[in-house]
Amino acid sequence: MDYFTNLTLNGVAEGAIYAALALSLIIIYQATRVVNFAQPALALIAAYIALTVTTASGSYWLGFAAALVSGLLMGSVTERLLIRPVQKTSQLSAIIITLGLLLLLQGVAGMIWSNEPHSFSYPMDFEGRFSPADIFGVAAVLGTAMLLFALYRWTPLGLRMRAAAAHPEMARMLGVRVGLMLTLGWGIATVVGALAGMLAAPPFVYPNVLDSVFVYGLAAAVIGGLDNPFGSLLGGFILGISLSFVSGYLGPELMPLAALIILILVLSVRPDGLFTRPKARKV
Amino acid sequence: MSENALFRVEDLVASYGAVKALNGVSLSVAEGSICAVLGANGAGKTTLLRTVSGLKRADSGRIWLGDTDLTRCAPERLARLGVAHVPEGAGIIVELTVEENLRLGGLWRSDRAATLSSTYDLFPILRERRNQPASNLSGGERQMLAIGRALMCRPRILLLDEPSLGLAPMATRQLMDLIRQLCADTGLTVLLVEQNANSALSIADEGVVLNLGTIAVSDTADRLLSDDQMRHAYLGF
Repeated sequence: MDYFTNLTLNGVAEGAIYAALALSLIIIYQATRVVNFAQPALALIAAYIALTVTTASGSYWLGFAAALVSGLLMGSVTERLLIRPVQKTSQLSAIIITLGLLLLLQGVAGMIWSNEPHSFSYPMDFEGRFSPADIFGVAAVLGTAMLLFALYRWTPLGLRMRAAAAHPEMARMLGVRVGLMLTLGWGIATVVGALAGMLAAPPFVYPNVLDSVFVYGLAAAVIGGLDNPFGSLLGGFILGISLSFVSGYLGPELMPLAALIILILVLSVRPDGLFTRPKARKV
Repeated sequence: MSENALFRVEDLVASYGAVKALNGVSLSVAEGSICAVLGANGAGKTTLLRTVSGLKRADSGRIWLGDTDLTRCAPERLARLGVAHVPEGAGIIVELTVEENLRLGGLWRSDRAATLSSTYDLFPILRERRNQPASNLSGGERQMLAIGRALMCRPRILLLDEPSLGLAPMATRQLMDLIRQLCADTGLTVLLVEQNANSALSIADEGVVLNLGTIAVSDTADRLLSDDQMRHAYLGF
């Protein structure tokens, strides 16, 4: 029973990271219909920047803040300089560009910070069952999700962003600066991605450290439904807990396989994700 | 049509590739009046509205609202300058609630709360359904929502594209009366694009008939309504 509790709590902590990555993918997907494959690379650069700032200043939290700010900047710049010019041609070009950016940034990270692992500290004490670091991770992700919900649901800015995503042309006619909203959406999404990177990277950071986490994050987004932020959040936790059980009872080498099986099962039963309600017919 | 009209289009040309959809269109609308733009499919009615609202680039010509040159103005700026556009099919954002759609119409204005409540007074049905998804509304209610949303920016001119499309005759009648009433009460200026010439002319002050991208006829609404030859030639009834 104790083992079971351990695995569950581990799963929740891991799930929070998948949920954050899933959320960062969904914010962009909802706004621009692009799956941002560069997300782990952007988060990686943010983590490296945090490492550099932390090393220079001696303060973990200064590095943490630097990661989030650089996430905002990198996401906005990516949208404005790389995605916007091709958005009018086809969705596929934008997706290919994010794939290219993933490879480029991982290579550049290796060139700047070397391919050798650097030790990367936890935000807090990480020892024991559901350590302060784990609690911080879950709380940070849930807190971010609630902030985002409040932003999108209750602020004029959030209303503009939703309108820009749902009906860009009409939104423009109503005075919404749609381009700015998309840039901001990418910025916000990349901040969430950077948060996931900060939580996922310890104890070591190296150019491919986020690859597997990203795959699980993408799986969580698909499980929850790409159109459903809540679903993706839940999807992250469900996947985290399931994989923790698989790893604990069957062996950690089966985790990727289990993730795929869960993905296939969900997609064959609910192709739009577990939590997506069928859409009302548009008239 | 007077020279000092509120809204003026001068010699407007717009094209899709080699096809000129508008070929030198000029018209003017006096403040507080309704100008109906009629014509068959492909006559250039929607292109005219899209060019005015900045969604389509004009090749040449000018568009004026009072002393403000609207030519090549970005759509997101036009709303702030007092141009409200209700596109064909109403352009309701079905992912949002009724109230969110309305609020979107004037988010930047400091008097938006007051405007919202006066819009609800105008359309009580929208107040009843304020928290429902806009996708629940019927066709007539969607047109009301779209017009209410357009009014949220306190426009000087309202561009309406085929508001009667898909509405039952009763609903069309009510909608037209409402537009007439709005103009009478608030001094709103309306450019009304319609295929339903009878309905449109019944409330309009002036009318122009577009044919293949040029103005074929331009006259007062009353004279257009009684001109059988014009109706046969351009409107097909």
